[in-house]
Amino acid sequence: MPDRLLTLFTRLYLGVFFLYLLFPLGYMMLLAFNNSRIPTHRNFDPTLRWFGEAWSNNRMWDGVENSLWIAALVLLIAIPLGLAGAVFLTRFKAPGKTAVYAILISPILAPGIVLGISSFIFWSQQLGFRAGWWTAALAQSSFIAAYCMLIFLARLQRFDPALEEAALDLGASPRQVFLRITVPYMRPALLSAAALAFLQSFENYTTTYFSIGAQSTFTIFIANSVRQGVTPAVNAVAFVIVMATVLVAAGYEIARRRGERRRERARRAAIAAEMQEELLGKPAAV
Amino acid sequence: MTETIQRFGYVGVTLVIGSLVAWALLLILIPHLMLIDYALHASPGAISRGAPTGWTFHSFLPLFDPDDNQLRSTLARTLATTAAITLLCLIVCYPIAYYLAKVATRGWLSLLMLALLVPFWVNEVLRAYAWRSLLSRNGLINEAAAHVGLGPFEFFNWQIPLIDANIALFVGLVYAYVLFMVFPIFNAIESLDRNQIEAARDLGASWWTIHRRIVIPHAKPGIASGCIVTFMLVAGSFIVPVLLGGRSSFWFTQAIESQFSVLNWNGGSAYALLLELICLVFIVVMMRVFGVTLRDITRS
Repeated sequence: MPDRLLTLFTRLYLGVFFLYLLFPLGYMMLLAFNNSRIPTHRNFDPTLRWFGEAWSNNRMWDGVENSLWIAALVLLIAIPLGLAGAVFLTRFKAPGKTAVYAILISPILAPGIVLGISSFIFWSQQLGFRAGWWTAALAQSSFIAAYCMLIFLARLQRFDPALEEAALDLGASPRQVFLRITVPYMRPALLSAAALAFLQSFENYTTTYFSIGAQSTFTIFIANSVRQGVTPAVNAVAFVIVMATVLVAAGYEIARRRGERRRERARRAAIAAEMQEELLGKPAAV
Repeated sequence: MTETIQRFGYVGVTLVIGSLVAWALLLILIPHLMLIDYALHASPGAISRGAPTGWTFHSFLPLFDPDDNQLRSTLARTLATTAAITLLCLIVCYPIAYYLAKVATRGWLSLLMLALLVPFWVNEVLRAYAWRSLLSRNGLINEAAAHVGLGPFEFFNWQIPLIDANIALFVGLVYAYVLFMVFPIFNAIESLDRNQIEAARDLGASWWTIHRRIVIPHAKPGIASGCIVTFMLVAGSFIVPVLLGGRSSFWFTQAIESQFSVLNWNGGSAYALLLELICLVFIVVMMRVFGVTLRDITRS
């Protein structure tokens, strides 16, 4: 195939794919601004009233509150567990690591409905806890902890254990080593795991729906509004969510590129310093 | 082990092992054993109608009912649609992932990544809802069709032959989970050294040979991972079929839920266990076919 034709075809394909990805979201957002009882673009009459109606819906705020509590519990459970798993798999000299890995990772590969139901049956039916925040948080943690562990594993594998050994040789206690060396090194991974865990928890529908009993969350509230026949107030909520996602994703991308540039500058500065040292036989001025 | 204790102290080792035991037992293994136990018992209602009280396959019987094939056809529809969607996502996403990993310039890559991340992080409920308004009778697509003298189309009742799911559900499921195929394949292809592709091209390989002999073998773990996750998410999807399924495309997860809504925990557990076993078989088959390990899969 001639190259020009291939390029043209590639562009067309990308265009169609990204149109398919983004257009439905755009259409959903647009309908938030139409003054019509049902969400439609027909007879477009611009208004902001649906944002007001969405804002004054108490059931939505109840859902948001539940979602935040559950997410907080998930962070408390999943981050320590994920860290323990990663430390065990990278640092401990112990048998059966492959089996441990397979068990801990299995919830990621299981359907959310199964996680929700099995947690509900165990905690609520068998042990008699009332289904609610706790059962939902435990069900979510079973797979979110595994995601956290994967993030920690990736970072710990690039860590030089000699740093920890040196500190131990110099008389630091294991506790001091953990708090003064391991945790500071893990800080970026801890932050991204926390962000990921929060988002996963807040957005989750299926696992939560099947483990929370009669309670509701923000996502369940949205699903119920859509099921029970909607007004464009749902679209107003969707508009806010998509805009927030765009801002967060853009902020993340900008931070990533800035970090990349900083590393590139540091690398160049190091090379320059090294060259000066070699050529002039003296350390470069800082 | 003594070395580990020296390194982490008794407290450290106890904390790590203790957390892992609690995690594995309380969050994963015991809840699953409970699910299996529930699935292998008849419901109290069935017992009062004469079903056995001990371990039994009674809760699975509706699957084999000779007079009523509704559950069987629901399962068949779910699996056929899921397989078709997984394959379609793979075919659609491979070129996208390759383009992003090896062709796109840095500036474009950031922008396109952003365009992928935003729908990825908007949850599946809203992703399904977006298509619900788009495909409805008053939606944009029907209006556009009317302009050129077509339609109106009943997207929610228009069954696709062979897989028997309606077109709205099919489109919505692809939309909701397609990105879970892009990212693993992208990660796998990105780690391929560009020089290998250049070398093959210099030696006169066609683009088709380059992909068949170099890129695809290298991307195997990513392809396996993407297929496994997409299959599991589509088959296990609940809210997308609820919002887009219409009257005729009942999904297997809805059959699970309908057992729970009549408080038949045993029946619901049995169906849920069956769904999980199917996903497990799919994972094992994919790992065998692609010759990859669990670690390869979770890495990408």
